[in-house]
Amino acid sequence: MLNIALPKGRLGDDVYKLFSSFGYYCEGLGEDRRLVVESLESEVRYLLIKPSDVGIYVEHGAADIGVVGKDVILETNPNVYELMDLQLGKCRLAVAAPVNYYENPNNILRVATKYPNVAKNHYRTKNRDIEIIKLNGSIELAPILGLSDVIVDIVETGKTLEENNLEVVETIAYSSARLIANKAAYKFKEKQINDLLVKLMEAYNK
Amino acid sequence: MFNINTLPREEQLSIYLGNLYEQFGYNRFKMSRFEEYDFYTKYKSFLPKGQFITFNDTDGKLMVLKPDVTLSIVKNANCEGDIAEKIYYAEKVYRTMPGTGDYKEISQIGLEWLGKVNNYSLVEISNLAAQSLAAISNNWMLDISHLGFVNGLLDYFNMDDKTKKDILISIEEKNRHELSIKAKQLGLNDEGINMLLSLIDITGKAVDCIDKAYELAVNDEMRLALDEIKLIIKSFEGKKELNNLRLDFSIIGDMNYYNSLVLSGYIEGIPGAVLIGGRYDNLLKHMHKKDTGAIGFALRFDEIARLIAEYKPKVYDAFICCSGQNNPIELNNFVQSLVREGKSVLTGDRADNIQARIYYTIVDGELKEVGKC
Repeated sequence: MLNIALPKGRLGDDVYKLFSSFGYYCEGLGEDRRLVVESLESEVRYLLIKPSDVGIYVEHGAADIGVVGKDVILETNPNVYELMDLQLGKCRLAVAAPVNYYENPNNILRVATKYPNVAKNHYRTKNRDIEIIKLNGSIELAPILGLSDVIVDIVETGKTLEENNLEVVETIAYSSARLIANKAAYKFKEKQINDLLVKLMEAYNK
Repeated sequence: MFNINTLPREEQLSIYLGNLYEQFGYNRFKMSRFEEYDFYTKYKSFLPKGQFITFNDTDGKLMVLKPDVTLSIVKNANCEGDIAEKIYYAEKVYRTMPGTGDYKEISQIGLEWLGKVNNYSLVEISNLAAQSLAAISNNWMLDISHLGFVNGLLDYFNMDDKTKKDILISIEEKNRHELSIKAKQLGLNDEGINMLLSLIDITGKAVDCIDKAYELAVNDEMRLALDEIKLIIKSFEGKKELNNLRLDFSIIGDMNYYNSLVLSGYIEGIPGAVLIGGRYDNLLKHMHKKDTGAIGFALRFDEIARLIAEYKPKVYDAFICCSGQNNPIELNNFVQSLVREGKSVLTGDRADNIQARIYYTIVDGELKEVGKC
């Protein structure tokens, strides 16, 4: 039985469609509120997990493999194998600021973000003194209300930024969904994991 | 009488491993929990990352709760003679956990071969690593890697240290897609990119993969590394453990610490590596121990204990119900006589949640067997 951690939401739905097309099918997944759905026939068990927790489940072996955004990997740095770029959920981690914003280098830069580690690492490489304001949502509000100077967040189309009179000033990293594996599970379930990997690679190379 | 089988499984395992290492000539090293902070500042690059727990001792010296055992062993070892110093330990170290940053006490059991390292040392340490894992569970794997092999290939492409470090991150993550991108950015052609990807792709049963690895070898550094691995594989020939040996060049460990052979052991049911080891000559050079090398491994014993520990409610041989008993000397005599017969005894007013093989009560100065009281 292969335990697969899927992020709840659109990305998880897309990944499930992809996996089920190779035979990793599980009846009833997403049709009710169950968070664990398994199929003895396909020898697969799906776990539906909050996206930011997928890495934790896989690192600690509660799931053998999982799908998680590179943005989450960069933030949480889980000790896992990153086996494949699934090319889904593409976006970028960026610094955004109000349109026409000029940074005052004499002040400590106030950065609002859901990604404090990514922000810290980014500004550490630039030797810039910053103050992190950790938020859990509606990050775009922070500079509008003067809570922060800039934000570090994921940007997909840029439409939300635009509608809030913000613009990208710097791209930190590009992100997309990655297939990750627990390091011990990869040794003991190598064949099952590699079978899935081969099917994915064939699908992507078509 | 004392019987090792009555001990919890983790304690039996600890005793078994200690005996095993003693039989192979390793002596136990018992150390203090503390070390001077100054000592660690000199060798910080050989220590795990994170904060240490520091405190001032009575004369004002800054002390540390040990984050590592090996450094203290090497410092105290007299390993410049003809005979290697062979040491094992069962100790606790104190580190911060990645992620939460909380301090954690970690139990380790490990061994070190310090002095002249030769082919026999490689074989002995690898075999003891395998035997240690096999003593824990039937489902184990021992990954073998060699930094000489990995470095040899990276040197072939003339990489500087910064690029090497970046490439090694992708190899360690088995991250083919990012390794391909990085290799392309270095200007490697398809053949070069595939050679780098082979460091990830050559993985599996050691005996099946070693020939593929030889095909990739482009210089003597790589071939010498493979010769060492081949020798280790050969030492397992004819043993069932051969099937548990794997080659995996993504096992890189800390490049500052290890310099050639690297071992990493896994047990089914534990999510990360439980055995980490390898050859670490650089540390001895740093400590000015001349013409010496070092090789060893450590087991994450707390993780192992969690897996194998069995919780069973204790069953006593005898329970003496002493409700209403007001002669403590008489009661003590009864307890002593049962203990002398090799029995475990508990006394109490009622045996509600107690499991015992025989329940007694005291009637007219004599023990009388009763049903549960």
